[in-house]
Amino acid sequence: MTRRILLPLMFVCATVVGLFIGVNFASPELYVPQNHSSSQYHVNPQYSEITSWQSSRDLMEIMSALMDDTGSVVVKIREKDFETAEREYRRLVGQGHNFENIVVDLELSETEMGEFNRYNQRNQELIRRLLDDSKRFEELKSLEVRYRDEKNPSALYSVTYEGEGLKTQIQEVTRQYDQQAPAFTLLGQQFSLNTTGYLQSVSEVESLAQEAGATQETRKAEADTLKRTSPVTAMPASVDSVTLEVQPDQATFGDTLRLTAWLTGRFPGEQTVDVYLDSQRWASGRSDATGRFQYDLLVDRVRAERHVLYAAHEGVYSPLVNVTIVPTDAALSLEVRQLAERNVSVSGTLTAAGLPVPGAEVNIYLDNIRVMNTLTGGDGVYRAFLPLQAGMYTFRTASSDSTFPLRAAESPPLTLTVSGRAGAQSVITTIMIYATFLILFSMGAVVYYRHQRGGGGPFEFRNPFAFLKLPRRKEIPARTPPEPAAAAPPPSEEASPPPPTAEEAATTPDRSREFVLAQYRQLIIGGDHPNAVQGLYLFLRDQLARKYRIRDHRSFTPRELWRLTNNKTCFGDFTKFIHLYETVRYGGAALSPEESESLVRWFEGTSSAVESDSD
Amino acid sequence: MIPIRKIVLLAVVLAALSCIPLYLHLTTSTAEFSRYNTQWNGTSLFFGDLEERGAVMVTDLAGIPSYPDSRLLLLAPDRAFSAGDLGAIRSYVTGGNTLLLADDTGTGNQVLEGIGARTRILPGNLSSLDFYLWDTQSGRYQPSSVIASVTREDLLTSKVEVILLNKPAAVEGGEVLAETSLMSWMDTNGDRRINPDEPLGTYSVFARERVGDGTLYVLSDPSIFTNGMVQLPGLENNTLFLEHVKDAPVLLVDQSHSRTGEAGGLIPLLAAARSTKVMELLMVAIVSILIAYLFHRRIL
Repeated sequence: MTRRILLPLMFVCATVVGLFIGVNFASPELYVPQNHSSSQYHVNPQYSEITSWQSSRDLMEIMSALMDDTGSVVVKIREKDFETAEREYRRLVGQGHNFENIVVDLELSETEMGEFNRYNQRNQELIRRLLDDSKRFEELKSLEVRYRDEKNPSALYSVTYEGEGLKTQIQEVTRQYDQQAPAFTLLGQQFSLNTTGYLQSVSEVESLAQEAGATQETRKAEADTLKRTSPVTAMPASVDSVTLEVQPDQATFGDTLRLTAWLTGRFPGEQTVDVYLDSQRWASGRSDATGRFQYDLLVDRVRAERHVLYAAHEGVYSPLVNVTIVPTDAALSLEVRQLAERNVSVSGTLTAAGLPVPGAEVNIYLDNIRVMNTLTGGDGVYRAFLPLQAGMYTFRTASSDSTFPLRAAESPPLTLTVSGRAGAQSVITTIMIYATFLILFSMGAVVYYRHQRGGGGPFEFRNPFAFLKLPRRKEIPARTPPEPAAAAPPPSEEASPPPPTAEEAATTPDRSREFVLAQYRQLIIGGDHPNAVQGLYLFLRDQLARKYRIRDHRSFTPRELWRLTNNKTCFGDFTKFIHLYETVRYGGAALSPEESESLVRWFEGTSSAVESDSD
Repeated sequence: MIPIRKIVLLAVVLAALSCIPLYLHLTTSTAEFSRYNTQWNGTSLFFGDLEERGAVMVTDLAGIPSYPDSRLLLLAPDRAFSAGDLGAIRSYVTGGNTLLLADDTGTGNQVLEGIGARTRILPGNLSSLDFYLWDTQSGRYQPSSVIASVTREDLLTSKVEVILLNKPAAVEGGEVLAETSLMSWMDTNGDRRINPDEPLGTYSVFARERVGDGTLYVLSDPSIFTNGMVQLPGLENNTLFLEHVKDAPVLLVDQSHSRTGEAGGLIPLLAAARSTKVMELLMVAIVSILIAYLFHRRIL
């Protein structure tokens, strides 16, 4: 009855489950977080990290501070409070870094914020120059006073000339600051920023340039006056005058400027001549016997703007010479290739006028986001390595280093699909690891096998596949005991039990057998036939194990145990016992009274035979 | 040898266990916004709360005018409204009731037009630099997780400072109740970046309009009602906002034109069975009898 219900029920259940699985089998949807991280309508917040970036507030605050602080630095420069100006400038730079970090983190390089960042960087660069030039210009004032008091016209002239260079620089900075002011202001206004401070800085810078111009004019006039009125020294100088000629007066990157200076006086030959560019010594050498000094200067790292040059020898200065460096086009090449797993090499060359540009900054963009900057080497080659996840990327590089007279250059974009496969090196490593593991495993297996074969040591070899040799269940006749010895193979030498000791043989008292039989009869009366026969079997199993020293006898099936008694005197009764035992225990059959008595008879026969066996 | 009884017992236990995912599969949905969807993109949590509050699930809009002083929630509409439906909604709103429409696809514009409102939904991928999710897999921020600031005090925005949205659209017209910051844009190409042709600006996301004697609220993002958003920790403002939305004397929830009503398979059948006490008791009784029989037959 139970089977009649259970089997169809389980069949129906299995069919339902099979259909359910079958429907989904046609189009399986494997669960991975990426597949469920977003949909057309929303993103899955559970696969994201919760942050609280109210970036607009942060950005607006920083942008506002940048505009205001720019103004305050310039005011402090104009007030000649350079210490405060330096402190304010450092704060400005810190704010600029913060802003740039946000711009990079939020991938805003190519947006209005990115543009604001670029203007700000440029502003900071100009303010730095303005601060340095103004500070030096102010220092010249004290030198000027000192030299005037000392009535030293040549020293005063050196101050004047340096001041002239600084004035030109300040004016150039002012021009550039003014130049970008409208666009920067407009950008600030787009974000509703207060641009008053910044606009004030623009007018302050203009005033600063005018002041420098006026100061310089006065200084020149005073130097001329002093020169005219100062008494002639006892020992005239070896050089009276220096003149400088620069050819051409306009140059670009890669051009050569020919600087020619002439010294005139008592001993003009073989004197040291210094050539200054924007008050900085740029070239130095010795004049020839005629007092002529010539120097060819390659234009490379010079800003594209108007510059002031002069030559000097021991306080004698040449008239100022103006040179204009104009920007030229540059070319930036790009090569991208995957080196190993997820490691990409980005390289290229920056050239201008057919020459390499050494030491220039190159920015690397990945999908239009600036991810890295690097410098070109002496041969104009830049190179960088990027660790990247598998996927398709568009690479681009750009260079706009304002310290070179070059226009901004950009490489053509390149697309590269970064594969996630392991590179050759990692494949070899993987193979090596697996090979080592296999070799070690095989060595261990061989050692173990040999050890077992040898029979020594703590192990005893037992064929692990012995169970395959057991007869299948259907080979056992239903109620007829199998033919003794004919069907069963002789026990192997390895499996033959060791002889029992006298002490073990004496440990099966008849009282125990009687007890088991009494239990058996009680269970039979109670109708629990399977447990009843099992009690008898367990008794015989333990008795056989003790007698014939069968190891691990608890892991043997009745059949296996039966086969081990093949050549024993108990084999006949035990064969019949086992057959009936299996029928009741595993077949679920109930014992008839006759069968019950037969089972007891075979049980006692087996037990007695085992007990009396002298083997 | 293991007795057959133990094998049967094991089989029955396994079968019973395997019925659990089967039951879950048959009684849940994976449809977006579905109230039967227990996953992150479903609205089962929100609707579970609504049912506890006794909200009326509307399957025929013709009947809504008969609920005076009520509030109708029309969340994520996805099908066209008939003239009759629009007439019913118009009568409902102009009669002094409140309609809250939450939509980011533009389907709701038919309703807005139909009831004579001037407010419109502008579908699009509204993004902002004011965001609250950072995609850990790509290491990039999620600009479509927009933080909108409440700009005007209202019954629904009382003490709510910000509303956190998930891929919202924008709202045009009406009185602006919440809007994005200036650094927001419509990410038309979906690259999660600001491109030159994607200008920055402030966008309205929640607006109010008086229509007749009633009030219309338009929210440009129904995703805030989903389980993923409701379960997100630290969203006190959204929780408060949803509380305001649910807090109405009579709350009607449209199920006839909304994705929240989408179901499949045996869900309606089982839902109907579970909704009736007699049916529920009957199912419990059947299961009990089956277990008792198995014990009686000594199968269990």
